Formats: sequence, C-alpha cells, structure tokens
Amino acid sequence: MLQATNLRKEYGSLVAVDDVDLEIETGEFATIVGPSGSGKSTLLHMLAGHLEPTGGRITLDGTDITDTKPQERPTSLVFQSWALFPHMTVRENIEFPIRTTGRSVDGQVEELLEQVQLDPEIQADKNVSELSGGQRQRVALARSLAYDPDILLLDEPLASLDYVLQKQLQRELADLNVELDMTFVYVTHSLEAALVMSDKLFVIDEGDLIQTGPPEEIYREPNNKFIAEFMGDANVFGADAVESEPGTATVTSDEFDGTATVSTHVEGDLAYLVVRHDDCVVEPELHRPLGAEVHVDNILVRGNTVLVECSSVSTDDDYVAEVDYDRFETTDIDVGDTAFLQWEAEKSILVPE
Amino acid sequence: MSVESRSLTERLGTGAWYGYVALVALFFLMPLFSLVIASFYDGRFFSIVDYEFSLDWYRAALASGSIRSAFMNTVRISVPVTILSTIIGTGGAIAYTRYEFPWQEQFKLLALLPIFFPLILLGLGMSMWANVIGLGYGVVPSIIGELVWISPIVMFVVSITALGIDPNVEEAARDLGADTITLYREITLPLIKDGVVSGAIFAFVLSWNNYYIVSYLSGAQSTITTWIHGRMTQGFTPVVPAVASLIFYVSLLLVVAAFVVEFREESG
Amino acid sequence: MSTIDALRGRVGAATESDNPFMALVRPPYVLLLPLAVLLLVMFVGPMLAIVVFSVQTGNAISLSPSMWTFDHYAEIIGGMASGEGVYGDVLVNTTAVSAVTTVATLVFSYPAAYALARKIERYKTVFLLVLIIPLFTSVNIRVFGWALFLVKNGVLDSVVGLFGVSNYPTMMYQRWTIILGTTYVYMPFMLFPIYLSMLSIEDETLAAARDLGANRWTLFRRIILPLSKPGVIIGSLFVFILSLGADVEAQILGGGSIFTMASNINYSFGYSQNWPLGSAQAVGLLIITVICGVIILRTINLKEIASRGDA
Repeated sequence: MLQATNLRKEYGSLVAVDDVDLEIETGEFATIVGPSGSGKSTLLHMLAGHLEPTGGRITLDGTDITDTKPQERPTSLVFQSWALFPHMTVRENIEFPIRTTGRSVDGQVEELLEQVQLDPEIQADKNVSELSGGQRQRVALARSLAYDPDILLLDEPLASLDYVLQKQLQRELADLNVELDMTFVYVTHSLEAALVMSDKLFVIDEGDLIQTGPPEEIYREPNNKFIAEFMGDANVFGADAVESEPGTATVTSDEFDGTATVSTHVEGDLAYLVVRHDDCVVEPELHRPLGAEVHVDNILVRGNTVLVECSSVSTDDDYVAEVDYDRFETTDIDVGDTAFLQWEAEKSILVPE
Repeated sequence: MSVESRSLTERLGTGAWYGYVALVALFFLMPLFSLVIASFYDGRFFSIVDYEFSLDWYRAALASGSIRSAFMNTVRISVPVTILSTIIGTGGAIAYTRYEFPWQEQFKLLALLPIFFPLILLGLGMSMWANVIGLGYGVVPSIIGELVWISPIVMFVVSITALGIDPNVEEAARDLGADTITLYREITLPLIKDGVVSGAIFAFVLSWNNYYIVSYLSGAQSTITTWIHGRMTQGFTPVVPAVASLIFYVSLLLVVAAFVVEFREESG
Repeated sequence: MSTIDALRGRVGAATESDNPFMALVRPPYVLLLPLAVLLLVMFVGPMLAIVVFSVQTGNAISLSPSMWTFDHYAEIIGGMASGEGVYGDVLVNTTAVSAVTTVATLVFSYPAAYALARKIERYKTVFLLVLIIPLFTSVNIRVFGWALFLVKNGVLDSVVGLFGVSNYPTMMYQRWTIILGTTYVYMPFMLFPIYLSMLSIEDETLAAARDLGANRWTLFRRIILPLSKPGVIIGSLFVFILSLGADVEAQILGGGSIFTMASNINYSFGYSQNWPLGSAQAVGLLIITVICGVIILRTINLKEIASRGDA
C-alpha cells in the first residue's frame, strides 16, 4: 500500500500542495483529478521523488521512501511529454531501465512492446523521432514498465493525443492495470478519463484534497458545488434546505417551483441544489415535484439526444436539459416557447459551497 | 512564406534583396580575395595586367625556418587551448543550463562577459597581471590567456545546444534508475555532442587566429599571427599574404565543418 | 507549460543533508569551478589590476604601491577636455571611429539581416557562412587584406587601371580608411544579433497584421522595427565596445599617424613603456565595456536563441 501523510509543497509563499493524505492499495488504479494549476502534477512528482516535499512523509508497504532518490525508488513515471531519449531507438529506450537496474536484456523488449500493442518487428529498431504521438506514448509506457516498478505514475500522458486515440488508450491502460496487478497513479484534468479508468478518485483543487472515493460515489454524491460542477454537466440552483431528519432535508427555492424531500450525504450549509443535465426534461406542463419555468433559447440535436438550452423566466439564469430525441419530438416544443425544466427529486442532490 | 502568386514586381523585389545580400557578402570577401590574389602573385607589387600566377610564395612560406617555428608555437598553444576550453566551457554550459544553484545569474554574467571585451583590453590587462604575479610570458601564459576569452565562447555555443534538450528527458533517465555517471555518459553528453564538437572547432580556429592576446602574452615567442603582424608593419614581403592565405584556407575548411556538424539533420 | 514545469525545470543543487565540501566535488559545482576560478584569477584579477596600476607613479607597476598619484588621469582628462595634444586627438578620433562605425554597421547590416531572415531561401547557409567566416580569421589578416586592396599598386589600383583611371588621391592612411576597416571587422557583430531578432518574428504575426490592413510601411514601423529592437541594441553596444579596441585597424590602415584610444594605449605599453599611463587610459575603456557588456547580457535571452537557432 502506498501512503502519503501531510504531504506539502511550498514555493516561497505559494502553497502548491497543502497537507494532503493519500492511501492507495496495491493494484488499484487511482486517479488524482483537478483543474489546471491545482497541484496534482506537483503531488505526483513528489511521489516519484523528483520534487522534495516541504513537509510530510511517503511510505510504501511500511517503508518510508520520502528521502529515497528517484533512481532508487520502486516507482516509474510516464511523463506528459513522454520524455523519450531522442538519440536512441525504441529498443534502446526500453533496454535502458533494464540495464540500469543491473538486469540482463532477455527478450523483455519484444514482450513489452506487444503488451502495449506495438509490433516489435516493425517498431523496435526505429528511432523514436519516426514514431507518431500514439506510438511514442506506448513506447514511454513500455519503457516505464521495463523498470519493473511497484507503482506506475502517469502524468497526463494522453493529453496531446486526439480524442479517439485517447479513448482507446484509456481502455488499454485500464486493462493493463488489471493484467499486471500493478498500482497505477494517474493524474489528469479530464474528468472523463478519470471516470473510465479509475478504481479510486482523489479530487484536488488549489492544493487541497477535497474528496476521495470511488468514481461513481463522487459522481453521485459530490461534497460541494465545485466538485458537483467539475464532475460533469449540471444545473445548479440556489436553495433553502431545512433538515427534517439526519440524512434528509426539505428543499424549496426562489429559483424553482415545488418542494420535496431530498436525501443528503454531507453536512454544512446546504445552499445549492444540483441536478445533472441528463436527469432533466423539458415539458409543457409541470408534472414532477421540482421544476422551473423557462424560455427555450436553443435546441441542439446531438444524435440520440437533444440539448435544450433555456433560461429561467424569473431569474434569467441559463439551464440545460439533455433529453431523449424521440421523447422530445412528442412534446412539440420549439425555440421561443415557454416550458418547464423539471426533474425527479431523488435525482437531485444538496451541496454546500 | 505564404503561398502567393509570384508577380513580376514581387520577383524583382526578392531579387533586389538577394542582390543586396550578395553585395554584402562580396564586401565581406574582398579583403580575403585580395589576400589570396596577392599570395599567388609573382613579383613585388602586382597589377592585374602583369599578373603571373605562382606558387613560389607558398613554397617559400613552407620552407622558412622562422615561419616554421612560429607555426610550432601556434600549435603548442592552440591544441591545449582547444582541449581545455572545450572541457571548461562545456562544464560551465552544463552547470548553467541543467542545474540550479545560488548566484546563478551572476555566474552567467561573469562567465560570458569576456566575450564582449575588446581583445586589446584583455590582452594588456593579462599582460600586466602576468608580470606582477610572476606568471611571465611565453607559451603557457598565452594558453591561459586565450582560455579566458575562448572558454566563454565555447560555453555560449554549448549552452545554446543544451537548452534545446527537454529537461524531462534527464529526469526520466533518473526515474528509470540512472545514477549520475550513467546519466552523463548515456544521456546528457550524447545529446549535446554536436554543440561540443562545434564549440571545439570554433575554439581551435579562434585560438589559431588570435592576435591581441598572444601578442601581449607570448613574449619573445612568436606565433603565426604575431609573425604576420611583425612583417606587416616592418618590411612587407609577399610571403606574408601566402602565409595569411594558408591560415585562411584552414580556417575556412574547419568552420564549414563546424557548420555541417551543428546544422545537419538528425540521423537515426 | 504546466505550473510544475515553470517552477522546476532543473535539478536542484546538493540537498541540505550533504556535507558542503562533498558538494563541491559533485555537479554542478565541479562543473563550473574550473571556469569560475579561471575567470576570477585571470579575468577579474587583471581588470582590477588595471585600475590599481593606473594610479601608480613612474613607469613601473607593482601590486602593493607605496606611492600613488592621479597624475596620469589629470594628463588624460586635461588633454581631452582642452581638445589639444595627443589626448584631444585621441578623443576626437576614437569618438569619430566608434560612432561612425556603429552607425555604418547598423545601416548596412539591418537590411541584410532582414533579407536573410525573411526573404532569402536558397543558399541561406552559404550566405551565413560567408558572413561568419571573417570572424574566424585573425584581425590583422583581414585588415592586411584591405591594405593590399587599397594601397598604391594594390588590387583596386590594378582593376581600375584597366579602365584607364589612374590618378586619384590615395585611399590609405586616412581617417575614413580606418572606419572602413572597423566597419568591415565589426559588421558581423551587428548583423547576427539583428538577424536572430528578425528570426523571432513569426510569419503568422506579419500575416495577421497584413490581414488587418497594414501596408508595408506600417508593417515595418509598427511590427518589424520594434520586434527587432533587442537585436539592434545588442548589436550596437557590441560594435561600439569592440570598435573602441580598434588598434590594428588604426595602425595599419591609418599608417600609425592617426591615434585612437586603443592604438594610443598600445603605444603607451609598447614604445613608451609607461604602464601606469596606459592603464589609466584603459580604465575608461574598461568601465564602458563592463557597463555595455552587462546591459547586453541582461538583454540576451539564451533560451530564445536556442529555440530559434535551428532556422
């Protein structure tokens, strides 16, 4: 198990990482996710040993590795820019960590290339400058695996690849994690990547760890407004909530009609009601317990679904509903009409700031 | 360049630019041409009409004892200068571009400042200094003196190359288990190799052609450049252009070689 | 660049737990010490020595003088202020040579640098080579070449003689002959910095400006000129400093009768063997050089040159 306690990094008066605690089980695919500048790369590089923490300790299976140099740590980092050795071939790149760790080269290059879906016969003796972005990414991965680490760290390695390739590689990484039973720690700002691949998420913002848990849990039960919005397209309403029993609250608002009882999972001043775009519908009449009267501003067809962009009649705030195409057709709603954006109570959640 | 159709006026415009640069290039070459022409001339003063091509002066140059000894002194100075300045300058370049240390910007200032000094100032300063600290004059002081000016130049050239390397590459090497020696041997040095070679060639050519510093520090020993200077100001013989041309040919070849090394395509 | 790249970038020097003396034997210190020691001993030392020697008496110098005097400075400054005598001439000649050289090199180099950076495609490497070669040949060889060109019965004489032109005033040993020499010798130092500055102007920037209605003159005045300013400043300072040290040009092309600061310094050291006097003159040169050199070095951004150098 990889454990970090009170990990901190300061640059003068700037606190990049603010007393973060992490616990990652062996074999887990853990993702550190957050917006740009949140400190997630800094955190990862401290785990790798390339940055010295200002405070805190890092232990691996009980052994304190905080002061261990990167060349001696059982971790390997796949860099965002891949950092392949430009003057060497693919083979030489992959052989490098094998030799530095005192082992002999014995077919590992071919094995690893196949594991990352590259054909050794074609690729192994090419110079790295001849490879495409996706191929370089795979070679970087193979090279890090050649080090035989206990923990593989990945710093947004897919960021500069095109969308289709990203999705494909995400799936491959998830498979590799299971196949090798190796701990992966992945850093990204892309929520989608995090959801697809991870067993566990760490959400970080401005150096603080603000929520930890399995992806679905964070998706369904974000701890605050920031996470709720970060986790995906959502409509946010200001709300007045009164706790009726522990774990439930009755909610009303100036910004929408209706009142309902909603379960709560977090404590604090629950000032916002959040409901996902795809949990909302737009219909001429208000049939559901919670809803808001809106002007329909725009209708964007997106294949199987339709995005209905609208603005509140009372507050002029903008909201979006993602509705099934066929169902929306039956409502006969058009741009300029007035209708009701509405949702089931249990699909919405209450969160603090 | 944008893809526009090339009208006649546009072509004339570009032609004018080429023409101007060609003129400037011609200007740059003129004295060197004169030198070469003069070196082949048979006769004390030349005129184009009576021009007779001759290799006599080259033969005389290669045969002369004083020239030979000046040449040997130049070699004795230039070879150590090339080797030492390459090592020292490369060290400075690696330190500055790949590490962080206190007073770093001040170091860069000090290290590169000699490049901008008029050589006569460096020469006479070091000459007086050599006198009072008991260093004296001769081959060794000349070597040290040239190092002062040439090592910064090597550092400059190698720094430019070193800065083109992705810093992540060295970190990746560390991450993959490399200790310091392996890092330098397999990653850092191979990656800056081209810059170091160009720097070494420049160092050699510059030390060979140095006038001011050696004239102030070599004392009684003459080098090729001081020999030429002596003959230029006191008693011209046509052997001088021959010797100067020889120096020029070698310099030209080496600089072209350095250019090729620095700018060639990355091969596999 | 992510925040982390901007903040980190390089390996930190030895960590606090290391013995400070052991740190010296490891990179980066082991790498930079030779250069640092060399320069401190043989560069800073001599330059400081010049200042010390300039206030010494008589013709001799030593590191620990018993007497010191400002006589030499008085002589120099007095001469310059009054405009008479050797120092008056030196001031006039040196200023003329350096100022005119700087302007001349700027005027001729700017268009060439522009053309090379933006207009020339074929033979670019050849042109660059031709322009850089003179830097690698000895100063006196180059100046000598000009002498051969300009002197009576020299190359120029012979060529125009073919066309029947024979009687024209001598080209050598004039003040402008020296300036021709210095302009020649120092032009690369103006051309290359401006060239590098020009390279940094992206084609897209110019295309965008044209797209927004800029004509050629506006393009030049508002975009090219300002963006090439760093190069112009570096080049001008560089040429100015170096031309102050133009001794060989004055000696050979000026015939030894026209004194510039550099040739006069040389004279003080050589013929009149008056080292303190020579040092006093050199101090002015030293101060100007250090100031300009520091300005240049602060203006140069090595990283930028590195990223553009492969053009």
